[in-house]
Amino acid sequence: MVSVINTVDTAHGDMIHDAQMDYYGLHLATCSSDRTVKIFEVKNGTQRLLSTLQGHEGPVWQVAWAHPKYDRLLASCSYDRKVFIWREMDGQWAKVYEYTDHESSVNSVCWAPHELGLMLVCGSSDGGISVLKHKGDNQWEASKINNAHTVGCNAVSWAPAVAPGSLIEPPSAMQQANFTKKFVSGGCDNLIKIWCEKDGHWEEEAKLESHTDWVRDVAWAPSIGLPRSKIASCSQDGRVIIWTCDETTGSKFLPKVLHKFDDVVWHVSWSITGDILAVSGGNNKISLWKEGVNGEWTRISDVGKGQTTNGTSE
Amino acid sequence: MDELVEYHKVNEMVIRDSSTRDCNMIACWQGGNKIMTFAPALPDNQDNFRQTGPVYLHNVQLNTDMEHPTSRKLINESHMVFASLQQMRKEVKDKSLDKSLLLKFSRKYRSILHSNFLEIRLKLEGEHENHEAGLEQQMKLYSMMELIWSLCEILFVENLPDGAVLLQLVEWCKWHFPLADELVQECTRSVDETPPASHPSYWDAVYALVLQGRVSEARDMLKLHPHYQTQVYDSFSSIDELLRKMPLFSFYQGQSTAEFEMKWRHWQDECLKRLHDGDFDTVIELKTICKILCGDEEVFHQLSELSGSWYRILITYLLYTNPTINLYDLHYHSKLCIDMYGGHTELSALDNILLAAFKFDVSQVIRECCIHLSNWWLPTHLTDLIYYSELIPNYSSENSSDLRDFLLVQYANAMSGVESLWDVVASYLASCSTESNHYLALYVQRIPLSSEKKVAKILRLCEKYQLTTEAQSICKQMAMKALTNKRLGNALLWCIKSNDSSFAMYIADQMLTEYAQTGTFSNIDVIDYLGPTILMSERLTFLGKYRDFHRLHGEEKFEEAGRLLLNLLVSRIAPMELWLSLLMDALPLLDKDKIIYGVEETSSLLACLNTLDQQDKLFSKLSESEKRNHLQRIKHLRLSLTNNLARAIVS
Amino acid sequence: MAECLAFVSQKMSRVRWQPVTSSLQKPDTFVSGSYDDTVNNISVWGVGHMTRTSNQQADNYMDDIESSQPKKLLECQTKGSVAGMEYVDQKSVAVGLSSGTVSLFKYNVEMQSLAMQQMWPTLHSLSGVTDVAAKNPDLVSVGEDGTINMMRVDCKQPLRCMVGVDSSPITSVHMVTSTEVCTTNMAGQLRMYDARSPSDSPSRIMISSETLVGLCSVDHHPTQGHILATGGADGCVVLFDARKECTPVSKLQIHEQDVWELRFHKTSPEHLFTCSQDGTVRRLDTTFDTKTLSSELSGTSPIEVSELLPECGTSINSLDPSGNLLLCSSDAEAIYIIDNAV
Repeated sequence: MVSVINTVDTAHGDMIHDAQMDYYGLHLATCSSDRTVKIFEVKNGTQRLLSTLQGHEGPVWQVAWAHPKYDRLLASCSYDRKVFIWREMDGQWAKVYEYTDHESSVNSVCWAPHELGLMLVCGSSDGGISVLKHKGDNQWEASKINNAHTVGCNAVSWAPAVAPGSLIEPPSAMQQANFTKKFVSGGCDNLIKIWCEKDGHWEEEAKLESHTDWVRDVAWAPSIGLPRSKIASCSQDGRVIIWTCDETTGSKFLPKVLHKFDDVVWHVSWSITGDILAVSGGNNKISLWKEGVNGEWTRISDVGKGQTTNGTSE
Repeated sequence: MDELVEYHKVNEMVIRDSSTRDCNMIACWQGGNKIMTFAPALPDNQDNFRQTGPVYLHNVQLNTDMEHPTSRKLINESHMVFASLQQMRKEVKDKSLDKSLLLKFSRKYRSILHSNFLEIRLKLEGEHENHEAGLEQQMKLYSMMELIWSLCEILFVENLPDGAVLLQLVEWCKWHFPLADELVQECTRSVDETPPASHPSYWDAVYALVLQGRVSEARDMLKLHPHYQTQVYDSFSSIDELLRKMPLFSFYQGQSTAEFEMKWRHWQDECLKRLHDGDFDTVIELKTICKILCGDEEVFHQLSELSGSWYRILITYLLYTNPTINLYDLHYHSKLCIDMYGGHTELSALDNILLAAFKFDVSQVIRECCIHLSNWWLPTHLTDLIYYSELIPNYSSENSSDLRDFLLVQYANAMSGVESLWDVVASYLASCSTESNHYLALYVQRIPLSSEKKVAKILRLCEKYQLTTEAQSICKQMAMKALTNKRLGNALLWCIKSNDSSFAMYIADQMLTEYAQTGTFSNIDVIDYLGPTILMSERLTFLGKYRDFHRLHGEEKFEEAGRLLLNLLVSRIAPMELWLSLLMDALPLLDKDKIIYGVEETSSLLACLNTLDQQDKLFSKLSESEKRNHLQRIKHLRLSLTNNLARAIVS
Repeated sequence: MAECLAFVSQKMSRVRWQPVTSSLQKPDTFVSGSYDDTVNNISVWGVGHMTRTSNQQADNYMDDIESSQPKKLLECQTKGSVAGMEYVDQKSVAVGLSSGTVSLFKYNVEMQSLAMQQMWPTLHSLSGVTDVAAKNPDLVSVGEDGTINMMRVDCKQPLRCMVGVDSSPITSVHMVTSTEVCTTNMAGQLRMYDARSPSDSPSRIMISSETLVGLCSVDHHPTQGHILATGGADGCVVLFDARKECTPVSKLQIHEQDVWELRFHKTSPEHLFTCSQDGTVRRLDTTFDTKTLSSELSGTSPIEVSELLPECGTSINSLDPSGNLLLCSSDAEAIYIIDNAV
């Protein structure tokens, strides 16, 4: 059963482009065309506005929370070509870092899994992707992949941190260096690319071709312990594709079209356990898809899950 | 907020937010079973679109069912049963559990359902006004779940031999459909005004009893009829005799099926004979009863209203036509009975679940339950108990463990909206058969660390399931939080707990910095009692020793204090940044009447001072006023140390 | 031993019997405080014969459900999780909340009233109060922020605020006398504070272990006030003699995990009750003679330990013995009443 619990007036002056809950669901960050980012406190299902972060000079497209073990950090990216990193100290939010190396709108930001250290990936309309690594003391080192997607990069998403061999043995804290650093990006060249860090450089590991129009969003599914990677992508061509790669048999990602919509599909989002995919398409529609035991995808039916009325109380 | 209209379509949810008409809805997950939705503009046409008016964000939740107080009871109570079943499985290792043991577990689950049902009923009876919304729906749901569960228990868990299963099913009907009892009560309650036999429901009550095979109760009812006479042999005595002589299969008394079947045939032949002989032609109602005893299909059609549903008539029908029926043959007769009630097209969701059970198709039962019940409770626990225990030999165990995992995750996710159920959620996720606890690991990281006590509980959970990385991360967050709140002592405790020596060093440095700046320690009470843990980090060791120095100094044990201080400098345990402070600490010792530092010691101190004086790098970091201060102190120290050297040589 | 188990749809952090007026009286009313829920509250419950006096409806209820089941008589919402709770007198309860506030609630079952009578807002920062102690009319609250606050029932302002006197989180507090307060902390220390002393420093610091295992709970022997029992995060019950040295008299591995609460029986002090995260409730029987206790370290144990509850797998957070009844609450949203616990 799906129901709307509550509706919040975000007090933004223009439309919202992204809303992200922090790790524990206690704080909410929203960003908007009004050039601001707002932070809300979430308590007992209600939201209370804590701060409005100003500084961007254009619509803010995305926000991302860092893992709480790095303290309260938030990244935002904007049409103004900039990426900001904000930090909360004693209840006050302040911009602690500004990254200005992109020549066009920055469309997407995503923090790496916390096991990999404090690291942020940004995708821009200039076609480039930047990876910012924290070097301590608020020093950030950027490595840029130029021309990752011709015309522009729309979305980036990290692969979950899975150390090689961790499926057999739980990784110990000492193994940290062994985690593979990987992320996926989607762009206006209709392509999806997988990037992997080798010897300190980012290399294109795979190029996934199947969409026939701009790729709007990509999302790497959380790891549930199977030697299988799963990526969801959606595109202007109306299709949502689930890419899977079975690491035991090979490393090729195979596409499976989840559904072809009549309209552009803007956004795909995985639930925390990776079993439900929320697909946001045109026409005010959101559909939820669940993978069944047999690997088949079905739309969750909400009316069908309502209670049967002819009970036993004759 | 009337401009927001929300409605459900079969597979799609639509939220209408008129303030953002013609925009696209975007959904982001916010946790277990919650989604946020909002309508953004599109990145490319932002130039020509501007939103006016309030901008909304909608919080959407899946499966809110679990937040109901009664559900909470069901969740917690059944979790205890579930947990002990898993524990039992672990103890017997690979062997499958004994059937009688599984039956015990099944009955426990069923009794939980029943007590919840009773409680809701009580609530509904007790509070006429303002009882919780949907309570009636809940009661229906519980009674339905109990009905399904008990049927599955009879068919799949008890799995009795021929004949005995039918008696169980008769009991099942009696337990769940008290119509006969209600009718009997209705007739006998008004004894004073109207005699029971004149009550309009009198014959219905008798029929209902006979339909449920309750012959002795039916005889008792018949005795209340005014025409019933003991002395005279008439139609009443005749039917009474037939009812009295009806053979009942009794599995536990060592009766063989063949023996029973012979008796049965003999008895039913007698019923048929008396029916054809016209024994009951004078009392039409008695004739109907005899027709039931003869297993007359037509009479079942007539009485279909009293039976209420195809499955109840199925059991009555089998009772009077095929009392020794085999478990696996039950469904051969279901079509006939379903047709009496309008055929397959009229079947409700519940009918379909029960039909699947009668067909002995467990996976179909579970599938139907998943689709039609509004919670995952029943399919999850049923699968775990029946399917996974290999009670049903025809299904491969590989498939059943996949299904079980799938359901466990669904059930856990449905509960994850209730914050305080986190340990129950974790327990179900941890019961998944996949070897590594990845579902659990993903979930554990999202449990809010709201208090130290709760964190202790979460860490116990990590310990139980060997979630080392997650535990480390939690300790780190707690240490960070304490540090941000300027609770250095607490931060240190968290470093010690997770054996994080580098972070411990960082905190020790913070404490020393504080000392260098203010001249006092604010967290001495932790440092003073660190015990052997102090060896965890070199900086911590120094900090402890330095505290010892202050203590000795305070206790006026100057010689010991002096030796310790010198040791700290000479052994290079003390970080260079603090040398000046340490040397300054030596100053008062030089003023004592007794010479604390001899020639050798004073020379060592002077050597340290010289080393410090040559640290250009350290010096360059200081501000102008600090530089001045630094140089002045060095000068002062040099003078005092030289003086002391002279004093030592002389003595 | 007979037990009664009730599922109450909320996790209870504390349960306390209403004090009885004479040792012959059987306790029949208790309060509970919930935690970790979206909406938390304190509730007053009636047990057995008690409910007959409350109202007609309760009578019917008792006919249908086993008469030993507790029945919720009154309920009041709290702003935050209940972390500490203690009776001040027969009808008033001091409650410490995760919001840092300490409140005094008064109830009357006959009048169907349960209301807040006094409030000391936000005395503690961080995750708020962790425990409260009471000795009418004095109250003490402690918190994760290392702060100790002293209050008096009829005073709006706290009498004394000892801010951050402990640099580790304080886990529990107990009043030995109205001026003598003892606290336990996460660093494994048992501290004594003197309310009359002008200094904020503890009068004594006692250490339970060298490995910094935290202490979770403390209680004092009802007749020999110098004997203090503490429960450790490692499942140990550590006994101290406040007159002697700062090291434990005896350390007993009673449980496998955190001992969340422990209590001496008020009228039969030879019994010490303990409950733990490991899901067990146990009773220690001994004379608590410090001499024999210390000799216990050398081998001969004069202490008998009995199991009071079949292992339930979920943490037992709170317990309270009164007469021969023992009240416990578990994380399975359940309340147990164990009869003949003594």
